[in-house]
Amino acid sequence: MKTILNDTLRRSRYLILGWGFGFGLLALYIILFYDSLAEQQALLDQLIQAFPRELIAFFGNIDFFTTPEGYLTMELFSYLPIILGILAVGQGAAVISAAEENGTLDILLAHPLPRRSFFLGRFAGMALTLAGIVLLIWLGCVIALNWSSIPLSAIEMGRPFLSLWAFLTAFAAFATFLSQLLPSQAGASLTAAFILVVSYILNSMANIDDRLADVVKFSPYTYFQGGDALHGLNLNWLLGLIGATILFGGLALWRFQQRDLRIGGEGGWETLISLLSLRKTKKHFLTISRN
Amino acid sequence: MTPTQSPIFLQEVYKNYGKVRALQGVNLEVQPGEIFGFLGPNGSGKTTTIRCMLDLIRPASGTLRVLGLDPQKSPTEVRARCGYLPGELHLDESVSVADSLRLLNRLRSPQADWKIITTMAERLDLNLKLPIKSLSKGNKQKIGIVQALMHHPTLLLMDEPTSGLDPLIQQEVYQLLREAQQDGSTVFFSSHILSEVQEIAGRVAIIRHGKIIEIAETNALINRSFRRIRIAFKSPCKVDPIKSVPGVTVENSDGNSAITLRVEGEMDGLIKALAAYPVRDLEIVKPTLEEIFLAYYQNGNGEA
Repeated sequence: MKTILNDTLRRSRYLILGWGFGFGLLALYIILFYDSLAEQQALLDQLIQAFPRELIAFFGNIDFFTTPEGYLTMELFSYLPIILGILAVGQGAAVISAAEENGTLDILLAHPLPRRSFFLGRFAGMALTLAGIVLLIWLGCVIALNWSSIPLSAIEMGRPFLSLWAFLTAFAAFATFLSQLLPSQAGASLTAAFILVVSYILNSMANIDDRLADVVKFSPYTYFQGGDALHGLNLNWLLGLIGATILFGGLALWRFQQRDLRIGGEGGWETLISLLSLRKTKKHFLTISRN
Repeated sequence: MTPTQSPIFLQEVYKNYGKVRALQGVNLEVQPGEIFGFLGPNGSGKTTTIRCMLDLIRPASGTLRVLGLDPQKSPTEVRARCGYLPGELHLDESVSVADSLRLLNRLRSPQADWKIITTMAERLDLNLKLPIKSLSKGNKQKIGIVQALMHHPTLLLMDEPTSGLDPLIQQEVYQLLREAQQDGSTVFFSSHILSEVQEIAGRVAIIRHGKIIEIAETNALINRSFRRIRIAFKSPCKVDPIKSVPGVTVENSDGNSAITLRVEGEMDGLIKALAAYPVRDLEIVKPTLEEIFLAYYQNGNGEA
């Protein structure tokens, strides 16, 4: 497992640095810009009042925009989960399927490496890659806080990022699970990304339509805490996301240990169809055994 | 031999991919220390059989034992003692040859001595410093051969081992396989290149449409198959009585002074018939494995 984990992190290093430093610099710039904006608070309030409510709904709660929490929610935490979420589902779907589709899985698993160890090495590598990216963005924020009037400590600033990592990893785990059911990595990524975007839209709409309050309880985006976490984490929600990661990761591992490794077009949609018609498959095997 | 003694033992192994029946009751047993050739055209079930042995895929039913172990119950124990070269070798292209071999070596315990790897790479003319993305198919194949052999496996499973290699390196690979055999390894390799099977394999199995249609010693297979006989007569003569000998068909006739026959089965009837003719010359040509193989496929021999 350690060899696979190291190999996964080695191959992810540029991804971590690129995304981490890119968004870390953006976060640094956003925080440094806060003081200038705060000076124009009255003007900003007027400007925001002029925006359609439907538009503002996508940036979180408008009432708190001119506070540091509201500002960070709108300028950073409103879109980070959706952008990094797309990256996360891609990484999650690739945990096993990337090596399977590029053909390298065959040679690796022909070695005395249990499938469980391979899976855990790759899955942990994916979770650490996401953690590395989130850590670098947090670092950008913490550096910027030194020159900003935003009264937040490094730990306080770390809370929403902890929630962000848990949210991203849960979605990535969901994509990993889908990749073990669907015939392609692309199919798993697209399905998970679609659910992510729908969840984001639902939660945004719930900001302006109270009738959606009950529906969004089932939306994963609800459990990303964003700016709300700056002064305290909802541990139940955090543990819920971590629990979802373990659940989907566990299901993906179970499925990976059961199934054939695909090469050259083997498997395909039959994998899903056979899962949906287990009774039929059992009957078929029994017939073969009797013969 | 029992399943626990044979390096490879398959009994009534079935495997389906959806509606495609890849293996249809494969029965096969390989003896310890032999080089065993597994012949068949593309899509006949060679790769599927080998991948079942390593638990990369699972048979639908049947008994399969590798080195006395059930690959589904003891996959890592089986793989620890096997060396495997896949038919389509894909490697991480972002690293060098040396780094790729180091990674694969780290997956084994105990790890192979790096000196063995460098010696083997030298023999195969493989530069360890080159990035994999810059290598030709043949050079990538050399990496596959090194990683399969480097830990002195008890059983070598090689799917088309000389694919993409030039003739000189092919000979070196044959030599490596012979050395592995001398060191006590069993070699099981699939191929559709019959000349290489003929050169190194002691026994062969022919698989067709997921069924084993023949298992025999390579030489015995060649000997007991048809023969091609060229006969030159001292003077033109009527050859009709020869044509009517059971098992004899005329392939070519040069007037009535020379004739090429294909003889299947016993030679006795033909020799007795020829006693009445003024034979100037007679040449018996054994078929190549290629011709035997084609005969199996064209005639549908062994079809269940």
